Amino acid sequence: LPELDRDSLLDDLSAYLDGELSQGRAAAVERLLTESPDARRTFAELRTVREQVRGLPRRRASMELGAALRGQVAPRALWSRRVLRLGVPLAAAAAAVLAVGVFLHHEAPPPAGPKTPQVALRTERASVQPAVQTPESSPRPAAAARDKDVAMGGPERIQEKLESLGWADATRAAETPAADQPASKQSGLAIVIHPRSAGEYARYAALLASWSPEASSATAEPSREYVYQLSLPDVSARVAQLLGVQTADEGTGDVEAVALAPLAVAPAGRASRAMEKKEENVAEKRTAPSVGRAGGAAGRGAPRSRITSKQRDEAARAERLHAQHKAVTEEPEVIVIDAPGPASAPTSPPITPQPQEVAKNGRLIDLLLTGVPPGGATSRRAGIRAATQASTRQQVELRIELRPAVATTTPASGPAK
Amino acid sequence: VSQRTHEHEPSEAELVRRSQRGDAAAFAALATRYQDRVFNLCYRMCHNEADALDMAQTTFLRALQNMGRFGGRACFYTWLFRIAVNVVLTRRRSRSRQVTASLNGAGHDMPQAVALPDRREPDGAAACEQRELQERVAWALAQLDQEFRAAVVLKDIEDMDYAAIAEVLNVPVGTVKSRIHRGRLMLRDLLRAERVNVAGT
Repeated sequence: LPELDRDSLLDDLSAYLDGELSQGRAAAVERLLTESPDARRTFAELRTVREQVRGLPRRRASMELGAALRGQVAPRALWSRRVLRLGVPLAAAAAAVLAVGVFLHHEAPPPAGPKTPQVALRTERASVQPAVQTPESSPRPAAAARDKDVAMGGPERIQEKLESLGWADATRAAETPAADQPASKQSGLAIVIHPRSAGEYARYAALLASWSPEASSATAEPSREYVYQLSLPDVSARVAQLLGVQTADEGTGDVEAVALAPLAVAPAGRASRAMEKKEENVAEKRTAPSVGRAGGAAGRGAPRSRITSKQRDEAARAERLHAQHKAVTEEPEVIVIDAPGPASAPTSPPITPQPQEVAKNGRLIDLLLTGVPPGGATSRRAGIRAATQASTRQQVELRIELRPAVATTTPASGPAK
Repeated sequence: VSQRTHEHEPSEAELVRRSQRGDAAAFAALATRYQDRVFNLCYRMCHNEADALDMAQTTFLRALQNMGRFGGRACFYTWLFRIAVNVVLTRRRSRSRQVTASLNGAGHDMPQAVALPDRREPDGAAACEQRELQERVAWALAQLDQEFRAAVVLKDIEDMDYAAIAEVLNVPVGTVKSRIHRGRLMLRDLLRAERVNVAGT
């Protein structure tokens, strides 16, 4: 055989071994094997190596990943709107993580179905909830909600706050047909911080405290939730500062960011009809005398007095979960922005962001604020842009949740050295 | 009757559809079905149990978040593996400082003492040799550049065909072919240098 052919046939030995060659090519390799002792030796070695790799024991996950995941997904319900949490603290890595999500609220209400849950939603978002409260584990008792209302200055105060946030009057919104609703009024950013240590927690807390004039409140130490209304550049700046804290803290965790296609731009009403039907059924089954059916006169009249009823909360939660699931599944583009690892030398250089890092952070911020995923589905871009333009005219809500330091309960094997 | 209902296992396609509709239990079932394979893949790629668990978990989290994008054109596990490989490669890049650990943590040398053989036990010697061989093969695999390692692991451990590997790695089939071949040749050289018999028959 000519040298060239011979070399290329030798390169095909593995593919021949794996049965991946065409008949003609396989025949040529076979000819080479009969002619060349070298080829035969190499072939035998390749086969041995393959068997040795195949003989490696299968490792099994030491925990139920599906179950663990369910545990990770459930806390999303903490945010009362369409917020996607990412970068959950994984026990094995115990890395500090900033989880960033884009959310849009004030989506068009569905054409039919329960309106009141939306009212419940709104009330909820106006009050500052302790972040640790899960709807699942502790359905908010009516009394507690009332107390919160009082703390916020009562229903009037809430309405005022809602309007200041660009929310339509709740009662009016419930009466207006879906088609006439604006798609989306406001978008925002939600950031969840999972510090790894008390020290890191303190650094985040200090930074957040330094922004505190606009912060609504800090509740339920040590888990805190902050809500800011900021212009886009301010949001950028603050996200950059948060990322700076992470960088300073030798964050080995990834900063995971996600841009969600704005749900409200999609025909959400139509898409969620099946869900609404379900909810109606649920409502019927659980009907309490005081709970008016969706769109009923009772619900329209004075929704506020009833928004705390358990049934409404349930329906609202179902709607939220559905919306969140849609948010998660519809068109998310997840990117991972590598946080620089700890410097190898003990004396780490001062924390001046490297150009590359700035670019990355810039990319993150761009992504979050424009909602245009790099290389994302173009079909959605128009919608995304429309929503973004709306949001650039307005203030953007920045919600930050600082969670307690992650207990570093690592598995026996411990984190990678 | 109740047993029969238990025996009815939903198909993968059904679980995928239900997951896409927001059925958390269906996704959990999918995760249970594939978690060991995904974990094993991650483990063979990173050679570290804790990291592998973390990566596997991240893989499923991403899969959950992206279920809506899974069109059903590829096999679900091909799609899942593609996410897993991306997770592994991204993680490895971000930890470039990390040196592949040698088996006994003693530096660059090959492991001298994997575990002391208990030759009193029946077949103790053979089992021990087998285990030692496996450790050396695993070590050699960990020395490969990850592009080659990924191709070899997907072929020889996951037993995927070249086309599926090409899809997982997002490279042409020709590239897969050459990576597997070169990866195996490198493994051969590494093992030979460690005096592992690769001569074959």
